[in-house]
Amino acid sequence: MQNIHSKTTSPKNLNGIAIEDYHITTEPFYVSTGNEISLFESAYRLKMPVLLKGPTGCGKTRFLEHMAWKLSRPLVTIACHEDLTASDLVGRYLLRDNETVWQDGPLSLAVKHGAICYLDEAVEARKDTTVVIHPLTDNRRILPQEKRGLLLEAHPDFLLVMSYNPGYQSVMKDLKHSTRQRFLAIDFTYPPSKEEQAIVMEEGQVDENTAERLVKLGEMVRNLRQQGLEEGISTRLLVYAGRLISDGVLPKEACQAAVTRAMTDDMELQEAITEIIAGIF
Amino acid sequence: MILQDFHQSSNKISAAAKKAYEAARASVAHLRPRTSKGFLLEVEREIREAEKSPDKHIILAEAKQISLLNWALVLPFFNAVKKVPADNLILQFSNLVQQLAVHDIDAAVTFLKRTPVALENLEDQQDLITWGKQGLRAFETAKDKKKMWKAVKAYFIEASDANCRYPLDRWSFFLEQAIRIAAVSVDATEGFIQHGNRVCLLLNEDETIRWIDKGLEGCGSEQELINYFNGTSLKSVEASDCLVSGVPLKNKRNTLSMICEALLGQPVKLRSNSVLLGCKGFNGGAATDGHNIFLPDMAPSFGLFKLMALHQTMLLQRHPYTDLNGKILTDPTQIHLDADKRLIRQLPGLLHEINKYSADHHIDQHPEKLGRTGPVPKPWWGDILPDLMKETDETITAIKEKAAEKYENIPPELLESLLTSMLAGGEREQNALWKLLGEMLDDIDFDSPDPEELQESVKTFFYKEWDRKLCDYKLEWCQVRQRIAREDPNDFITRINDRLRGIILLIRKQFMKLKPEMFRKYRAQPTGDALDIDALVEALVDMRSGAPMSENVYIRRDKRIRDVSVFFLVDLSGSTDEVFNGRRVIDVQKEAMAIMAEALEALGDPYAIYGFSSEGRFRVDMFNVKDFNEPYDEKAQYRLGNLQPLGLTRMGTVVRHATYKLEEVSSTIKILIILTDGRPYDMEYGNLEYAISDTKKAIQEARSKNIHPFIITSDKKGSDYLQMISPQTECVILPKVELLPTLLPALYRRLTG
Ligand SMILES: Nc1ncnc2c1ncn2[C@@H]1O[C@H](COP(=O)(O)OP(=O)(O)OP(=O)(O)O)[C@@H](O)[C@H]1O
Ligand SMILES: [Mg+2]
Repeated sequence: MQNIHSKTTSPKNLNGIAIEDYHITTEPFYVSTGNEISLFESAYRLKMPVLLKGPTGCGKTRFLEHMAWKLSRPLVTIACHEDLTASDLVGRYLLRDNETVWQDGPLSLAVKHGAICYLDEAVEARKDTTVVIHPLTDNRRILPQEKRGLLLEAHPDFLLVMSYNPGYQSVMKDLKHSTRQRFLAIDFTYPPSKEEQAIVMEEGQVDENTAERLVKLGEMVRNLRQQGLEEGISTRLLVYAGRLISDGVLPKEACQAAVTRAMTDDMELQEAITEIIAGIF
Repeated sequence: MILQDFHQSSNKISAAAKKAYEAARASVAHLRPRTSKGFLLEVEREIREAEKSPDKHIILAEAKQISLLNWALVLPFFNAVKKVPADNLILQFSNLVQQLAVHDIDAAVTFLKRTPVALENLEDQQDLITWGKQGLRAFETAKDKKKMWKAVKAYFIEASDANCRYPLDRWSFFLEQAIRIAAVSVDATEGFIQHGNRVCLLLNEDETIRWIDKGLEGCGSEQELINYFNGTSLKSVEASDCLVSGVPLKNKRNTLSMICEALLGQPVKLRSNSVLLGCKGFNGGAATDGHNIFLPDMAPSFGLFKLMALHQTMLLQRHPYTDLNGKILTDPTQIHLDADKRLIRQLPGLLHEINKYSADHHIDQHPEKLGRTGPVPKPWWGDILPDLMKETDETITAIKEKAAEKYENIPPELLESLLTSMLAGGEREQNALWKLLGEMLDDIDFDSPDPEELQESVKTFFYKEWDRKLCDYKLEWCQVRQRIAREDPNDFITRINDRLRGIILLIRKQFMKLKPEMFRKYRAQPTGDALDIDALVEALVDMRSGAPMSENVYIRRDKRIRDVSVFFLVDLSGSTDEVFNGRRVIDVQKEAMAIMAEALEALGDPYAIYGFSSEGRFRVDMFNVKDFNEPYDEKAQYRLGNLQPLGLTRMGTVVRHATYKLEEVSSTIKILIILTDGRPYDMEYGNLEYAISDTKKAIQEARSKNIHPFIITSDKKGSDYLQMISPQTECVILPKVELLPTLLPALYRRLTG
């Protein structure tokens, strides 16, 4: 159910993972695009929960990985979804050898060890789930483990971070204001062209010229947002296209797969994007 | 006197010079002395100059010959021949002049006068002769040679021009065609050579011939012929459009405008260029007024269309046009070349296509053979209309200033978008635009009272409307006035409840069953949020007694929430007053809504009910009976009871407003149910086709926003147009209006069950 940073594991054997496993040991590649790093560092010092806003694939997760590495804190990531329950976050009793054993959920783990806890796409979780974080986000900084009758006090280094994508308009209203207003917000958008080019070069392993063209493609397709594309094309997709190209796929085909068909099913829009690709490559 | 002087110094000049001079003198013998005196002075100067030339013998000998033909040729000859290089050419050149002069002195003079320009612009010197010969051949081939003079004269001018569009062999073809036109009108032929041929830019030779046939057959009067062949009549552009074999603009407009928008970074309006007829400099090609792009209705291929549109995109909002170094360019060829350069910088992949189309149109293929220096215009360049661009800019600025005073509260962006829409629609005249704007923004007197007078709380919304002729939306075209239905107490609901108590109870019960438990608990599961103590105890007991212990000891709670919202639109058009089997349509609709409301109260799905009626595009009224967040209380019931037949039906706008309201709701399933009694019809809502295509668009828009639209009509003739609006599955035609109250809940159950 949870997607815990690069580990696939079911809640049952979570106990097997030590908090050390959440440490990021090598520097994640991240290109800064503004003052987000210093802002986050301040928030970390002041222990203010942070909300990362921005469209999909624009580097929110990568940024946080980078910050966790920079601040040498473990990073516990929880991908939120509709069926996520409070127990999934806090923990539950398991049955083992005749006994019931308490197992901490990822949130409890992060709270205890002073990790950065990242609730990815927090709006996807139900409201009754998101309220469990409320006492953690004010000056109480506690996490009640109701089933055990315990109150966990947060480690001084614990920091809560949520991400959310304001693109989905109707969902936006679902993020309760009482939740939203506990967070300091950092805005993310698609990186400016220079930066995006550096990212596509590094991550997509393509030469400068190809990266430049991919970024140009990204900009042009983003211009079409009014035309029925729900979101602009993400940096992630440009990176994918780059990877395909570096793997030997012809640029036009790579872009068809990673951009045209990934972005839309509308025939006219597809035709337009195909023409733009043909123009760029 | 002059003669005296000449003879005095004559020992210094050659015999050939003397002969030439004598001939010139003889040629003006019939003129008045004052005229001839000036002429001869000039001739003398020219002869002295010619004496210095290495080719003096041949020049003077030919000058003498030419003087014998007509004095008007003499000075132009001297002027031209200076530029003509090798001696072998001079002889050919002079022969040409003499032969031309036999047919028409004017044409021959023009040939001479244009020779220096031609030598500058033609690639090869030999082309000078080809250029002249083609003109001569036109005379020789024509039956009635006299009728060709204007055309040949125009040809000498156009074909030697630096901005000429064609290689010489293309001109040879045009001249052949000109001969055919000359048979009916001299002036039309001239017009064809000067401008009209450009209408054929995208036609091949066969198609051009057919275009000329059409003109010759279809034009009665001389004026008609002239307008057709100089390319300024609608008929002429249309004829060319339907001859272009290829792709019609209307099929590709959306795709093209998206490509342009991607390039420019803002929406681009593409229109048919037929609205530009009569604009100075417009010759049927792609063009721009600086804000909108105008394209021919047909192009030979999509690729060419794309190049036209993109090329024009590079010219948008660039008046005056500046190149990358900020230098202002005015020469059209330079502008086109620079625009192509910019385009290729942005989209290098186009280079390939540009080369391909250049080759297809026999341009750049053998530049050495074309007989032209400098670039030959490309088929996608189109026309540059600096006057139109300037005027458009001025018009927009002027109207914006005026409007800023009069309509202070209207945001400038909205104003600008209204203006560009109107310009794109073809209106260019400032006063007419101002008037149109006034019609859109001013309050006009209507039968129905202004909401301000009603002292209601009215919210207004603007919506676009689809124009099937334009193949585009008219932005901010219709105004929805969201009003609240009257709330005067009435006994409508009480009466229905009394009369239909049984049915209502039954339907309520049916709907109750649809209602899911909010959460369902599943006991004794292998996974879950909490331990199921009962199952656990059992499992432990099992284990103690030696049996393997069951793993199924958890409670799982699953979310099973019904997540449907529905929006009802009730038609309040005047026709709902009609009576069927003793009951008015409006009353049946209201009754159906009352029952449906009861059912939905039982079920708990959020719902909204609005009545709608319109009177022109600024008075599309939507009457709130119940909004999503309002309870179905006494007030709402009174409102329902008060709904009455009113005006007309502007369906598209109504659907757009409902869509907007549904978008604000976060349910996974959104349904829009429209109860109507007839076809969409409103003031200035065009004919049935217009109304239907707008409604259809609005329904498509709704669907693209994950809304399921559904139309229920009691119009038996409705099947035809309903099929056009919405596929069969999404509409119901009631065999009898009276069925609506029972059918509506049943339908809803089926839709969402
Ligand atoms: N600033 C950046 N520096 C380095 N890489 C970046 C940056 N922005 C985007 N990327 C690239 O884009 C990919 C997607 O970014 P990431 O996963 O952080 O997106 P996200 O904002 O978390 O998206 P989602 O909302 O879908 O989770 C990364 O894997 C990385 O390759
Ligand atoms: Mg992410």
